Amino acid sequence: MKLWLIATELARRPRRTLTGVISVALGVAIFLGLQAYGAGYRAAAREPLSLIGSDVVAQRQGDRPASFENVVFPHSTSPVHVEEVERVRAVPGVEAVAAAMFFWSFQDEELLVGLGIDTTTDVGPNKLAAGVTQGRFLTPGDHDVAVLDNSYAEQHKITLGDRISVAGSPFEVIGTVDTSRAGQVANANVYLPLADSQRLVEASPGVRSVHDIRPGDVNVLFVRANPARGPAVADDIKALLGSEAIVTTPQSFDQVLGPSFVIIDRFGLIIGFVALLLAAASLLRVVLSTLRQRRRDIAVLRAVGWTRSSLRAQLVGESVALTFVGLASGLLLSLITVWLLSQTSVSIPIPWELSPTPHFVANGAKQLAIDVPLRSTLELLSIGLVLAIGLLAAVTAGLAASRRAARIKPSEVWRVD
Amino acid sequence: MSTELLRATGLRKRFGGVVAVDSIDLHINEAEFVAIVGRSGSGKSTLLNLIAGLDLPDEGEIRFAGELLRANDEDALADWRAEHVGLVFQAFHLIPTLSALDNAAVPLLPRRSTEAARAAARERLDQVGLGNRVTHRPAQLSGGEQQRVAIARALVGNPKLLLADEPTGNLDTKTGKEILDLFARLRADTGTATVLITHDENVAAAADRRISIQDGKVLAEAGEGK
Ligand SMILES: Nc1ncnc2c1ncn2[C@@H]1O[C@H](COP(=O)(O)OP(=O)(O)OP(=O)(O)O)[C@@H](O)[C@H]1O
Ligand SMILES: [Mg+2]
Repeated sequence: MKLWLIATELARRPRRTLTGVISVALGVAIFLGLQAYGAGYRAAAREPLSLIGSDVVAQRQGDRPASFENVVFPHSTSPVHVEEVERVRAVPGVEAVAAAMFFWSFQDEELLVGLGIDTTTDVGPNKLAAGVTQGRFLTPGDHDVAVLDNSYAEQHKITLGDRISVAGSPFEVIGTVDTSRAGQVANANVYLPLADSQRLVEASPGVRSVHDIRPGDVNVLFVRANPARGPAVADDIKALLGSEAIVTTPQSFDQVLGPSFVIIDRFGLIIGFVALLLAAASLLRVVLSTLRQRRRDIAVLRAVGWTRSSLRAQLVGESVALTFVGLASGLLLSLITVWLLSQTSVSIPIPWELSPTPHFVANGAKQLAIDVPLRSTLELLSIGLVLAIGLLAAVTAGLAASRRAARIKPSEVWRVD
Repeated sequence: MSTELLRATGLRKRFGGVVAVDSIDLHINEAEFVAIVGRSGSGKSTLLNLIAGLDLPDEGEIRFAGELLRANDEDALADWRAEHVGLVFQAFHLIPTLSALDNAAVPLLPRRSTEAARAAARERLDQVGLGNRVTHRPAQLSGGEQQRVAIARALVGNPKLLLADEPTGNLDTKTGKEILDLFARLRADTGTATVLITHDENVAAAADRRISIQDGKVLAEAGEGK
């Protein structure tokens, strides 16, 4: 097999060669582009939870507060008791659990959204430590201290070292954080040590009148799970928390991403494979139609002593070379597509229960969302698959052409001429 | 006493109802020049294709240098042609996408390096007087030049036997004469046995032996032992 001879044959039939190359390139680009688009969307959908280092957020729907006074639970939450938290920790695949306490405190005609944080694990809202803008974040052993959301602090002209009152208890402000960095999940105005928030909640008649509140209770769980068991973990937790459970997983965001994502997610692989199949069919057509054009040449080669295997090497070589150029062009097209996609971003809406605010306060009913760049990438597995399919199609087409070529009899070809 | 190169015995080939070659016995000696003549449709080309192994006989056998050709093994026949047989056709049959040099090198390409094949081809092109046309493609060459390239291709593997089916049939008289002179000169230089199908009685007369075919049979043979 001579590479220059393969190149010569391809170059002297530019239209057919180009048709083959473009078909293969388009097939590859459509397949890889769709995979990249889908993967980018899926990665974006994981962003809200991964920003707070969780795979699953679990809570339990509760009753509406009897009145909006003092400390109450948002009705997207209700107490999760200590033994229930232990059971969640024991679910197979659960790697870490951060308990937290969400509460609303109505004081001085105003609402304060508070979150009590377990500072012993890097799962969940403790991730906010990375967003500290002034002072420091909560650490284990802290009590009677608070970290404020930046904009809340600014709005109320509170600075480091000030004392604020939460439900009548004094807290010293030790830091401020940029909450928006946490992906709008578990947004609050003030972050307290978990134990402090539990003390406030247990003492609140507004909570006690509605809920069976016990010492050590929490109302939101941030769970990190083994990725392989993610969906199963979510199901198990749902079963543990009962019918009122609200379990948020990355998949929960898929539904809110819109119909184009759903279609691509569900049918992208099929559409991609169909595109690859059409490309392979077109390749076969090009290779075989080229052969029809070259019957005379093939007859000459046979007559001057080319064996069937020499001929096969040449024809398969041509088919593989053409496919190779097509694959390379397709890969380039895909890279361009991925780059274009990465220039765009998607808006991921955050479900209300992940950052509950009363609907009657200003902006309370506003849909929170984060803008996530479409970080789509070409997966090596997809590329490998495309290369394998391409090579298989090329060899098949080449062999099909060789079989036909082997049946060409020089004496018959020349008689017809 | 000349050495026998090829012997065909009882060759028979029929196409449907037509017996194109009918029980032909034939031998070719080393370095011999044999002319085959006969009317159109008498079976000359069929006979040549059988000898070249391009077509398989219904009956009969062919021995080359005493060895039976394996008629049922296409690749063995291809190898045999590549090593021992050169073919020249009326219609030249060059590959349009290749230069004169590469056309002449084609038989050697599966078996030798490109450099070696091209070196041998260049030598043959020089020999047929086309040393200054190596980069031209067939469409850029005259008929006579194309046939020279075809002859260079036929001789590139140093065959013992050259088979030519009306090599001047597509050329004007003058060019045809030049090609026939070339055949004569090359045979003198290389000692390649040549079987030439021709309508030209002058050419046939110049051959060592003249075999006349009619209705697939050998009608007359003249010049044996010359
Ligand atoms: N492949 C074939 N199928 C059917 N008939 C054939 C085939 N090849 C040859 N023939 C027939 O066999 C006979 C001999 O043909 P052949 O081509 O050998 O003649 P020829 O002597 O070479 O004629 P010409 O001088 O015109 O080239 C003719 O009758 C021809 O029609
Ligand atoms: Mg003929």
